[in-house]
Amino acid sequence: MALITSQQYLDSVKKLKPRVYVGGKWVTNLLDNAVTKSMVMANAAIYDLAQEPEHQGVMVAKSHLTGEPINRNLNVARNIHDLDMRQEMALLTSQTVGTCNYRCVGCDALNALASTTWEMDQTLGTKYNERFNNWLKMAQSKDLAVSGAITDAKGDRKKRPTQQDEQDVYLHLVEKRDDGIVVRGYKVSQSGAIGAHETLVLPGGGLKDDEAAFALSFAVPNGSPGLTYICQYNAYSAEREYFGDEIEELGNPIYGQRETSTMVFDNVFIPWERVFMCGEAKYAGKLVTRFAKAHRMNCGGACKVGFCDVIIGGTMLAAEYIGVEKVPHIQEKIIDMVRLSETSHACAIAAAMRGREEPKGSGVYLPDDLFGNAAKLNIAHGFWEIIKNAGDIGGGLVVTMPRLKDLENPEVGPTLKKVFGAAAPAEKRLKVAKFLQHWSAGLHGAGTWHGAGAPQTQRFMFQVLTDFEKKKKMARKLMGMKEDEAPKAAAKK
Amino acid sequence: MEIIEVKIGKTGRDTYTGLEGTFANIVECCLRKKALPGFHEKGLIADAELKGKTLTLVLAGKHTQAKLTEMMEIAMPNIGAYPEKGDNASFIIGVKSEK
Repeated sequence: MALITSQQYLDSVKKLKPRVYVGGKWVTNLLDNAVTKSMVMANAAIYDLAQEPEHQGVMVAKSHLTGEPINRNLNVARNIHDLDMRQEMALLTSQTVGTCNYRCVGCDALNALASTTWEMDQTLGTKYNERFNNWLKMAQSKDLAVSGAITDAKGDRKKRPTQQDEQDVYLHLVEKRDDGIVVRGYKVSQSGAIGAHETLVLPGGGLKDDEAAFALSFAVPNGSPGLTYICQYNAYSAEREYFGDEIEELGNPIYGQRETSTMVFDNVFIPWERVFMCGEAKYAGKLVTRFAKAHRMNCGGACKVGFCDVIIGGTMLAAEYIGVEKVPHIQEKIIDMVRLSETSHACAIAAAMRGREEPKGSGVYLPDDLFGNAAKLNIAHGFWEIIKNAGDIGGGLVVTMPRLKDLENPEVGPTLKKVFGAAAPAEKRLKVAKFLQHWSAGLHGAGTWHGAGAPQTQRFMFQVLTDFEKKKKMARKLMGMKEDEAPKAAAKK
Repeated sequence: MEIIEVKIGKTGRDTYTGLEGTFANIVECCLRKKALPGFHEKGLIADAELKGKTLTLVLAGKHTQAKLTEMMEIAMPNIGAYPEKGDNASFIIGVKSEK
């Protein structure tokens, strides 16, 4: 049963009973609440993709542990082809659901763990890699939906984790016992954790030697007592709840905006077999950096490019519906949207192609860091440009439109059809305007900016990864300038 | 992997597998936290007793064998244990209704 169907996933979700809070209510069935249902349906669609023969090259991989076919969301990349198919999966899933592949963070987390637990075992003589592989084999055999939890609440940014007034703002160790560990604290902005069977938890960043209590990584089942999910709530959540079954009124009717939650760990017990790091502060930074390396390629250079593809498609339809599709400046803006988007995808492909085994001997392949960061930084800025152009071409209607169902209202409907009829009927114009509203006035702008790390982190990585001295040397050589000529001249002044 | 047998009444027998430590996790939930995984109402565990490798649970209220089976079918996957046919269970969970 290494590949399950969407129906089998949905059947399993009926038995998943995480403690979930959404906008003032406790949710007892994820499929009964309009907001949580949209997240679950997006996951179900990802399971469907792996069943479709035309997508199996991208969505299905061969387990390096068992040789069985598995969903690529649970695959450890073992070569360049795996890396390339991984980023193609991010592209395909975003094009399909127009929101998160909620198994994506888990996939990148498990690749970072495969690499780092191997290294810890080699250096420290621990048994983390063996444990991790046992967990992974189980997850692969059940085709579990696995999310990832990385970001701590972080509290006062001027203070280190041990200096915080409220200790729980960083997830930390409470107790180490013979049979496992007890943890508490918060992880924020966790995409799709509510509809996952399990969550892989990683430290939020690099740690110092005296911060061992925060160097934790483990897999936690979704319904573990002591674990609570407090979901995001916003205008789009309220709108979805308001319309109920009338989902055709919404910008992304089935799959919704992007659903995240704050995970609250209140003294949650984790058996040792599920613990993959406990106290090895020196390796926390490596683990997170490897996660970021994978995630920036996938999130920045492929996932968001998939979003851009559907935004560009919607924008072109909007132009056609008002008869401006051949106007030169409209075409130019659409070309700009493609340029920005495909540049990031090119960076993701380059990151995959320049990927390498890390560390040597582990058998785990990670993307090239510089190109992955370039993919993310480019799309962080490019996405705002793209949704700006979508709003520009879509027109003011994108944010001034009435409800779609108002077109059927006997009193105002006939008038609205006249008002908004153009080169296409009002129904089509309003439908695509609502779609573009979902993107240009929705949550994805800031989401794209911060997802896989805010741009400042990519700028920092550029600083670290770029050999600026080499570039200066090349420039000096071309100018015929000696190595130390410029500094000496400056000193004389 | 651990094999856990869930016994309900005289005839109810289901087996589940999970990673090592799964039984310890269930014991932690039921004995220390007084909570059945996947059920968030307080007071559901009327009594819980561990003897060796057998955990006996008494669930508050009156429940038929079918209802108890259904509840355990929810509890087990919420702690990472999945239905699997098999013998040689290492651990046993006996489940009873309070009334």
